[in-house]
Amino acid sequence: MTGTEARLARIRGRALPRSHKARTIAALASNPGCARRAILDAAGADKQRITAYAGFPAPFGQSRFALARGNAFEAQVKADGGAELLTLLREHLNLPIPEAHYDDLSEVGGSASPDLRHARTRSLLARAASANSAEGTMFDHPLLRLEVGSRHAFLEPDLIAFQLHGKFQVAAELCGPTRRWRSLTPYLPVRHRKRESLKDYLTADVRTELGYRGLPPASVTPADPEPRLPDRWAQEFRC
Amino acid sequence: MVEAFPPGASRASETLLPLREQVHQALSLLTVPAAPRLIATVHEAFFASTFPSARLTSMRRDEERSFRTAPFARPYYICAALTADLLAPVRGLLAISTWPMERRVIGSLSPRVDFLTGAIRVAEAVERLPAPVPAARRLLWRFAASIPAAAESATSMDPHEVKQAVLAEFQVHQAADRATRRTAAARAREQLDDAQQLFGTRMGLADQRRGS
Repeated sequence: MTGTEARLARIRGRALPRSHKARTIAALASNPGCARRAILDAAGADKQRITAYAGFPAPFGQSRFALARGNAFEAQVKADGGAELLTLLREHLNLPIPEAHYDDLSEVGGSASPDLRHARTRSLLARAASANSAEGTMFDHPLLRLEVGSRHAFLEPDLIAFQLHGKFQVAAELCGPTRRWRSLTPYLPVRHRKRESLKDYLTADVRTELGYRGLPPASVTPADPEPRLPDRWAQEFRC
Repeated sequence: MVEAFPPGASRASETLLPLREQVHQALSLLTVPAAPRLIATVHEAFFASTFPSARLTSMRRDEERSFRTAPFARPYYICAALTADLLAPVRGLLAISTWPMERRVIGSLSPRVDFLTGAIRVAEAVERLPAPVPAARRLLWRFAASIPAAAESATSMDPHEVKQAVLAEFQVHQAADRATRRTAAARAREQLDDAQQLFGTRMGLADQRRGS
């Protein structure tokens, strides 16, 4: 153990080192100036337990419901060899029809060992990236490795899709965060309409509601092309 | 031959048939390895009874235990599909032991090819139905929605057109997939014992890692 490692281990104490995850690497990258954080991360200290012990527990964690919904969504798009995902890739990225390979990397020969999975991921991605290979389109739960603060951190994207144009695409990048929302039910404005166009009226109403919730303003496009308020359905709820 | 009942016509099958028989029925209709949820949906659509797919989680293990105790005592076993590279059991797929090995090994194109084969079988089964069964059409739509040019909408979907669209894509993948499967199947027959051929090989580390 080098001098630095021994000092970091002393900072961490008897607890086992915590390895980096995608979330902690993102947090580290967005706080480059915080030396204390960098040291705690390098030592692999459990920051959440430290803050809780110091009397400042994290006010919220990851929502169980959000995780369950995320997992259900992932299972749905990946079911049947990624059938729904393949449809999306074909529609939006013009993936050619022959590109329909699916490799599950969440296990290697029944073993979930990170080193085995990483080695297998490397060999499959290298084979897919070689110019004369037609294999490899979707890689389910590949295990990538990144060196952070002289420690190896494993990163596990939900899926990597390979395009013929020679670029690997990670699932989150395929769609990006949602920017457009469409209401499935008719929108019921909260305020009365003044002398303004329907679009301005709805936009102002939605913006005010977003403002109350601390969300940035949005532009609104009425989905119903007719210049009227489709509010007959709401009559029974009005007093 | 598939016998389809309109839902509610024969509830007796729910209680009389053992679970493994029901799984066998659904898999025989699909003719390809399938995940528990799809098996349950197929059974609901064409055999008028369903079961929670969670009940299938331990089935492969039970069947393996039964096979190891008394090999080939049963006419068939619900077994695993094997990965083409390492001949290990594929996560979450069930197959029938009487199928040829080529059908039970899964290469990287096989999930798509099996999905398309399943779509053809479901379309044929829907065509054979004497009266429209909503659950069966819903199932076919689930396949058709993910196949190029198979159908415009769930209401206008025609099983024959779905089949034609599936065949068009099927031909693109078939040759490459068949070659991979043939090679892997030959290797499996040569290298694995009877139990391993049905339930796959596992790396020695697997159980240790799971336990830790």
